[in-house]
Amino acid sequence: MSKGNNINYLVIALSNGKLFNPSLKLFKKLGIDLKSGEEKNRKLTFFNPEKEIEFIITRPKDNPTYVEYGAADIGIVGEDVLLEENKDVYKLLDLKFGKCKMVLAAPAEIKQEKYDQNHGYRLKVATKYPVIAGNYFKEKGIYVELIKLYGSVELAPQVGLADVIVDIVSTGRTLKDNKLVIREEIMPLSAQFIVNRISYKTKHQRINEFLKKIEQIIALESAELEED
Amino acid sequence: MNIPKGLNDLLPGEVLKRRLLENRISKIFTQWGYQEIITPTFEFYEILAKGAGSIMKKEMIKFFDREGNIIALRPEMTTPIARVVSSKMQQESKPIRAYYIGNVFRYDDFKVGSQREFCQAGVELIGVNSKEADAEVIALTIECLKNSGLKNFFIDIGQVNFFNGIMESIKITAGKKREIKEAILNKDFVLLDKILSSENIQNKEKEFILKLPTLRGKEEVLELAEKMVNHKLSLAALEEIKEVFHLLRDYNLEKYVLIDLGIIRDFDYYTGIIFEGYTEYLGFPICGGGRYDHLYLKFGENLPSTGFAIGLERLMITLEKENINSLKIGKPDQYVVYYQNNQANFKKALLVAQKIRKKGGIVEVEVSGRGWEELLKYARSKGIKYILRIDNSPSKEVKKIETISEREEIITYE
Repeated sequence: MSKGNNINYLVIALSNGKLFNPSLKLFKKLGIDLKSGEEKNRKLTFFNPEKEIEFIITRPKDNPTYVEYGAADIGIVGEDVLLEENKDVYKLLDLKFGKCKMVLAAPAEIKQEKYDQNHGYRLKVATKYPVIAGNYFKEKGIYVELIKLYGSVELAPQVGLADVIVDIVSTGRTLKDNKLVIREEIMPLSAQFIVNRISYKTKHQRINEFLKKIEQIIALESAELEED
Repeated sequence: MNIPKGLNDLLPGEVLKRRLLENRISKIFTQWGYQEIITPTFEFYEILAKGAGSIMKKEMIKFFDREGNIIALRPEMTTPIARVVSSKMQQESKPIRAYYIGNVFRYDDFKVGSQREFCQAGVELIGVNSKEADAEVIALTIECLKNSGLKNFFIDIGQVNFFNGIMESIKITAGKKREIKEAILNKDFVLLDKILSSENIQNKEKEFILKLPTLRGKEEVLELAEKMVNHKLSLAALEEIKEVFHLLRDYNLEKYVLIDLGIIRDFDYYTGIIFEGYTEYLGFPICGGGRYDHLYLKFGENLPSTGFAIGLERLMITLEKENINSLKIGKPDQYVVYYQNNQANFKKALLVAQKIRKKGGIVEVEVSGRGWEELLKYARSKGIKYILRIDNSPSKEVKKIETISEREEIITYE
């Protein structure tokens, strides 16, 4: 099935990964089912013809790109992605689920002054988020070398690739297993509701109805969305 | 055989569409009394910077010339035109109606229809500050979009002072105001909520600012807003929008226009009515503009002005999404004149070519010395409809062969 050129469809981009299940639950509470969406298959688009909604499933990092281009009207995306990639989209609502923290973590034996001030040594920072990490250290006035990695950042300090890491933490278990300690909480993060700048004009009414209902839901039960 | 990132070559098929679109638009500009100005592709950075906000300054493509001056490729056309008008056209009676169609350059990559080089068509109405002038450029924008072939589109109009008045009336530090403006420019209403909540701002005002992007519709929006603001700047802005809206009704263009009090454009550059155009087919605006009364002061003139620019690449994408045939034109028939590689026929071949060109046909003269079969294959692959086979008979008759069917016909040229 295809929505074809039906521009009345509301296209909602969901991020796969951690935010996927809570997003599904949120829409279920709004009375919108993905039909076969919860099945574990490799299809990336789902239609709800009765409600004229199409869901697309994107990689978290690509989510705001779909929304910025207008390929999707709405996106559900982690705040980390939005902060890292500066996209021209409306950020309308903090969904308050998918909560985690951006932190600075280091091996327990590293002394605080090593990352807290300059002393003739260039601190090596491994991270998946060079923009966020870069801004953080720039604000503190600390001279660092950023090393961009694509995953398993915890490994970097253990093998001498970096002194510290800047990464997302939700439970903190991975850090613990890799003998890293949180030294500073840079910022709290959660899922965000974003909207394409033109869709917000052309599909204004439907989007605002959504927003209102979602606001009510998350005010009452955002924690519940994350339960498995 | 690469070209730098963000640039494009336009191949013949695309060029045809592009020129067609340019012609449709420039025709309207001309009919409304606007005259074309052409300015250089690059200029001194310090001049271009006069009309650029901080983001635009970063996006400009700059280099040094031999004398060590900083040069930049023009990132938009309004500032170069302001330079021309204030240095070479001061004596002209005002208002000046100027238009341009030209390429502009920015490092603002990878958005739909905006590569590092893209084409803008636009106008400036220079030296007059009236609601009629504001309405004229909006009406002209609509006429251009209509005449380009677009059917479904909207123009949203707002006024920067509506927001400026709200900012004036809340009592917070200048630093916090800047944070609020920045959050709004970034369309970050989550951050805006946080900033407003941390400040000593009345709940009523906070709710109102957060609701700005929803204040959109026909005239009823103005009535709604009037009850919610009390600063004189905001009230005057609402009155002005109402007047311009009524003038657009006189133009009979009301159905294309919506009032949007949350419209977000550069607050430091624009000084009055602002607007942008969009369609359901593209996630970006296709055109935008507004009143800028302060730019000319930087060039030593006091010329309040207004204008707009249409992004031609974006308009082209939109047109073809709306109707794939929007930019198709009937091309005149194409011919190859074939003198059968016999020098004695060549002069006659040229004469025939000339006659048909005069009648509006597109004619190539075969110059590769090909045999018949090969020529036929070539003509078909190029979509050439006819081959004219020239022989050395003295009569004014030639054989016209249709390339697909190979049907022959004798025609006389005269």
